[in-house]
Amino acid sequence: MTARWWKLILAALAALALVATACGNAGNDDEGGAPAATAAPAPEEAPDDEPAPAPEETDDEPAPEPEAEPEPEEPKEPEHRHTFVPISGVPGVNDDEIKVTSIVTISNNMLGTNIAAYNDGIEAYFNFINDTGGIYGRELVLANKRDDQLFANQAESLAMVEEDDSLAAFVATLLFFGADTLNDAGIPTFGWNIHNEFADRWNIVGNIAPSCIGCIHQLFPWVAHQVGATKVGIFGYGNSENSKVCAEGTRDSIEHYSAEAGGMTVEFFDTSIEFGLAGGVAPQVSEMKDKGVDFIFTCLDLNGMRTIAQELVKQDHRDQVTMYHPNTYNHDFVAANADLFEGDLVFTQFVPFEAEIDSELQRRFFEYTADLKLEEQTIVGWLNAHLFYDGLLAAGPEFDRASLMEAVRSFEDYSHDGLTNPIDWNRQIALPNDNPDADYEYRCVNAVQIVDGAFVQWTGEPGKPWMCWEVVRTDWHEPEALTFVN
Amino acid sequence: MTASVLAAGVLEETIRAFFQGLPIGAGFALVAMSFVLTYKTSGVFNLAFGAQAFISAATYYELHVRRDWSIWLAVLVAVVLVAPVLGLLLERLIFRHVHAASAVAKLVISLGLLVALPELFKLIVDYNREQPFGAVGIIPDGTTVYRLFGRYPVTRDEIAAFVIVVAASLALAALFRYTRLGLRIRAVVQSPRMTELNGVNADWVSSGSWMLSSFFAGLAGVLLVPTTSSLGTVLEPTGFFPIVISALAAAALGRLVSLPAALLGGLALGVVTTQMRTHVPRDNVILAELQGPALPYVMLFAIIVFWPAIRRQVAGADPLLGVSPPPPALAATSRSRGMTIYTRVMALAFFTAVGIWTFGYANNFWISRITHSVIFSIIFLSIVVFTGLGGQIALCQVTFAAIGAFGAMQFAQRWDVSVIVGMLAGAAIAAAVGAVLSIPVMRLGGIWLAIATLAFALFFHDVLVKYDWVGGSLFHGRGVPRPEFFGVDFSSRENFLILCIAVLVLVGVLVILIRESSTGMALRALRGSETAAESIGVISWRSRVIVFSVSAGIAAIGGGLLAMEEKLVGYESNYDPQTGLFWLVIVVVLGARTVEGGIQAGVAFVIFPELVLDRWLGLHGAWRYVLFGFAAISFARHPEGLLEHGKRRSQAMMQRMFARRQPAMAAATTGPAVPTAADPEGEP
Amino acid sequence: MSLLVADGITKRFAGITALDDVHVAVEEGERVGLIGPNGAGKTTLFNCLLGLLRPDAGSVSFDGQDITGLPVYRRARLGIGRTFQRVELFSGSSVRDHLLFAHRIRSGTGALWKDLIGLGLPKSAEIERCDALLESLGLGGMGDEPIEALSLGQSRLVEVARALMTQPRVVLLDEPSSGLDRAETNALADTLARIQSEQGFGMLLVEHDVELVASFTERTYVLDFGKLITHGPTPDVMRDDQVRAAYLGDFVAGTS
Repeated sequence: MTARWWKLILAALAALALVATACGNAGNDDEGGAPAATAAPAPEEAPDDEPAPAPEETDDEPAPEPEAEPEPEEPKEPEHRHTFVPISGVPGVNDDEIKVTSIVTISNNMLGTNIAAYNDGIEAYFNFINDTGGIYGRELVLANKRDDQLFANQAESLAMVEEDDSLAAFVATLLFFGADTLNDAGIPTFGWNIHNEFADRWNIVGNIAPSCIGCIHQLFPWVAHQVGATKVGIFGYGNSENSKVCAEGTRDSIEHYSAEAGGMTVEFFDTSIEFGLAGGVAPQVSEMKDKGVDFIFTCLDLNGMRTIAQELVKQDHRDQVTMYHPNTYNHDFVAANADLFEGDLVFTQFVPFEAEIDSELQRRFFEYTADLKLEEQTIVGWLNAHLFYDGLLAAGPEFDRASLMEAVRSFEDYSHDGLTNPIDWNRQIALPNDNPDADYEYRCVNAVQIVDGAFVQWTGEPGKPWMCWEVVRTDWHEPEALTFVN
Repeated sequence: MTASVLAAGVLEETIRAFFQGLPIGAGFALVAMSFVLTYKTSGVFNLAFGAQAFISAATYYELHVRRDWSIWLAVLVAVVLVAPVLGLLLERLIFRHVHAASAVAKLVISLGLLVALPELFKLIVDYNREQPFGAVGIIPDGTTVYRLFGRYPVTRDEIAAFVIVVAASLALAALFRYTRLGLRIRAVVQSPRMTELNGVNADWVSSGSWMLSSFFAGLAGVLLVPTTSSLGTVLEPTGFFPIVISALAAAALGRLVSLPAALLGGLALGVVTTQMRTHVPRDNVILAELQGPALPYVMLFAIIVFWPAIRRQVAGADPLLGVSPPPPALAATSRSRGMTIYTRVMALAFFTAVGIWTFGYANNFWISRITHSVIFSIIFLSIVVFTGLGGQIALCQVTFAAIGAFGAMQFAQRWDVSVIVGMLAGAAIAAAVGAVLSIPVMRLGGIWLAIATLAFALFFHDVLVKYDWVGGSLFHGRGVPRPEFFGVDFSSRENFLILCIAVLVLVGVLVILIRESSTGMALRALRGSETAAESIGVISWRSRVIVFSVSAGIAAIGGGLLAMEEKLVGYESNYDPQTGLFWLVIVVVLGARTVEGGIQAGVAFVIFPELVLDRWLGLHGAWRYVLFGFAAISFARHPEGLLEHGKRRSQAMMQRMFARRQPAMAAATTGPAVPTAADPEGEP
Repeated sequence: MSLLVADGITKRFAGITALDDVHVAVEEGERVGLIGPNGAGKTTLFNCLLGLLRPDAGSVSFDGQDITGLPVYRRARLGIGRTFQRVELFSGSSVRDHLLFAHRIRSGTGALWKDLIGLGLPKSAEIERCDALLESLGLGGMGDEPIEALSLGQSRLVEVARALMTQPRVVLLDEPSSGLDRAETNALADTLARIQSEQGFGMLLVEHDVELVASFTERTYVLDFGKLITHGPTPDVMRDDQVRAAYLGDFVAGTS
């Protein structure tokens, strides 16, 4: 390199330094975090700690929320549900309707699951509410279904904000780049929480709360221990950080509780496989067979699981191994691959359709989705819509966007009438990885087993599908079978 | 004793990995042979191969899995009928007419098709509600297991794939060696014009070879269905990329022209893959990468850079080179003063109107769209610099844009340094990476450069992005603030738009300066005649490395601004390698040779799908891929771009009109008849 | 010491010896011809001198420096200019651009950073210089013409001008008369002679046209079947029987 070039480089560096001193970043602005507006607390006739269950006239159901203050156990529909108060200036609300918008990855979805079923779940729930008289004299309407086409959800979010004719947003997207657009605009946003964007944003809530990713927990060794496994293999995708972190958390958990879980060891660990598995997994499966692996955890999609299972069959090791699936709660897929997955365990974040609990919301779900093909996303939409409705009810008849979110964030023990692990929406905003205070009270596992191409509830006891550990107890102990129906 | 036991164990593992690698290699080989076949028979480096394979695979899936046709009928339709017909259509409607175009022009067309065909298929066959899974191979009971030598398990699918691939290669060899069609294909490839003089109907032969290669692509599509895990990936044209990259490595071993080398290379690379995974430990990051996502890219890059045969091939002349007419001069250089003033006034009026509307009336959504247009114009100027001025194709501008974006993000997140500095640092890094990347491949030029840059883009995508120091941490997100400097806060949409416009103007001026100055002259010289340029001392690869580096820097600046506009690095939605392919297509279609062309492409990229497709026509946004993808065909005839072409035509028309008004003067001044394009034909 | 020397050049292609121990030298300011029938190895030798081909044996030196292994552009930068038998111009550029650009290369002022701050645009001094050379080659006023608009003869002159702008010490001309008629060839020869005597560069003329070589060069080398059959002052060479037999062949033999 000639001297001229060096001079040039030095000059460039000097210029850069100059710019550096002159520049800053525009006010590291408030990315959500705080209430979007200084909204007035909920109107007086709506006690915001009293979200009511959905049911109509039936009063045999327990209320979903046992609150800190001893409230009457009587499940009662708040009298104000049908109170009509004229409202103006609240987007999406007129005298007849409360309109919401959904943003869903419909086209360009390459996940292998039908995300569009999310809209079905919302509409089913709205039908149920509207059939029972709506709320505040109005009907709930999913007025605008936007397709984010995988890459356009920020633009779609902005378009929705600018159109300003919806009260709230419902989001089920594979990527969520519109999160700040919605949050900063103060749009109450309910969504399918598969992203870290669901953390740290006041106006965004999911079907579950932000969860600890890659954290050490006894759940993994316990599950493997239950089927008598001692030698574990773990797979994660090498081109996804998410998958990698998940796999590492599983490994660390098993190594941490190795002795307590009967001397369980991680015999095989590979986070270098590529999405699509074009090169197959034959050498890896050979290695697992050589090492006598009898349980496989993965952080893969359902198609990846299929490739591994096929290779296990090919190498005559399938019967010796139980696989634990994080993303395979798909009835058609499992039915089509019944032989491949016999005996495997599938994890869900809600009470699966196979586990009946004493929940009015679950009964209504089956009632209103009877003619739909059920997908995981159907119930996610249903749960989101339920939280939205409960928030509205708690916000009172003179609601607006801010009071709706205030109300949602005031729910301290919210389990969607037992369908999910209870969430303290007030406390659980941040990612628990850095903020242990923001974690769930319980860490629970809800799993089904694949038997003859169908799912059978595997965890818990009849009526108590969840197996849970208190998060604060890190010593090895048996989980407790629970139900969160109140 | 333990040592010998150990050795026996290693030997056993090696043999096992060998048999595990062969079926994978058969997949690579099949794809590699399809590439070679098309290149050999048509001179087209056919990246649209992925699209052709996709269409057959998807047709098969649609018919067999979703409509319950029998396997054989579905295969018959998908592979024996649809694939050759598609090949025939491509040849008749497109490639026949670009016979003599440069290899680079053909590459652009195939890119356009790669983008357009699958989208068109998906628009016709709606997969939105029912996501495809449950891939079923074309072999009945394909998962039945057999044991080689009583111990090495293989499935019927794998055996069938291997047998089909070997049989197909033997059939091809026989075709080329013993049949008249094969001989004619070879002759036509060597010199289409000469063959035609000898009375061979080159058109017919050309159709035949396209049908044949398309048949192979279709066969590859359906055969690969069971070997890749996810139909979701197979049913995306990019789902083929990891396989395509390995296959390209195999094809490169035979310089893209040798079928036996493609076959053996593919098998060998398959075996290398499984051997790596069997013997190399995974506890080290680099070793783990080398047997995982990084492997195909490393293999391809190593072959391109180090395989001597490729160097020799490039040294030997491309027979088609120099056949294509030189690109016409830019309209601006030949237009009259009056026309220039007229165009400038019109442009000024247009931009003033848009400006008034934007800052006075537009809502945030449209301001954001316009900002996006401005930013994409900046990014596309990087394509103008390298492809428009340099005449070469690089497919990793998107990666440089990502480097700029991640640069801004990392500097802001880690050290709380201004995003502007981060963006500039990203640009410097991109420029350096561009230089380092291009030095070994720039001498090769042409399609090799395109292949190498595509491999780099995918390498970045599949391997690098997941690292903290590149793509950021999962836990901190990819937020990027807007900048503030010299006391001005650019956090509002309007202010940020002004900043972007300023950057666009600056970059536009730089591009014009480059075009009109020494570097631009060097590029023009190289474009005009590389031999002559070297005869006066131009170091061709160095000039190209320099502009590549500049173009990388520009892309990174654009990428950084895009991240600031969106307040995050929307990597998956904006910086995906497939998006990058579309960038190139839209820029060359609209006009890669001028700054206006780049800006028009930027506007079209953002505004067209939103305004024209969505709001006016009510069509799905994917139609833009179809429209611009097919428009890439025009590149062969109008390498200056459609808009530049239109401009020249309307200019000629206007000048004719002016001339008609003053026929006497025109006749007096032009003197002896020198026919020019602007001359009115029927003028007395 | 000679300026450009090819010493003992041997080049084989697939077993055929195209050049066999050939020695050629060009002095400073000298006009040298290289003739021979088709297939004699003229072009091969030419390419060896320029660096397009690497000889199997022998060496090429320039101004005392061994340049056998140098690539084309390095030789060009040392001061070896050339023209092409099949005109090689930069399509899409104007006549002046050809000269300007050669000048930039020669003067080493083509750095990117200058372009970026606007110093790379054509300067008036440079333009004048180019136009002066065009003028002296009889191409005055054609600087702005697109190169495609020129006749073949003019194109050859532009090639010469382009080569000259690199301030070569020796120019290799590859069959400059090909494609030109007699009158055009003569005009070209006149211009070349004039400019060469003005600027004093050495010249190696590879030609088919014996008449041109006879009238134009001071010394001539004659190649046949890859061997140097004779060389010396041009008039002597032209009288050499061996040359007449080998090269001028039946035509001369029949008439004399």
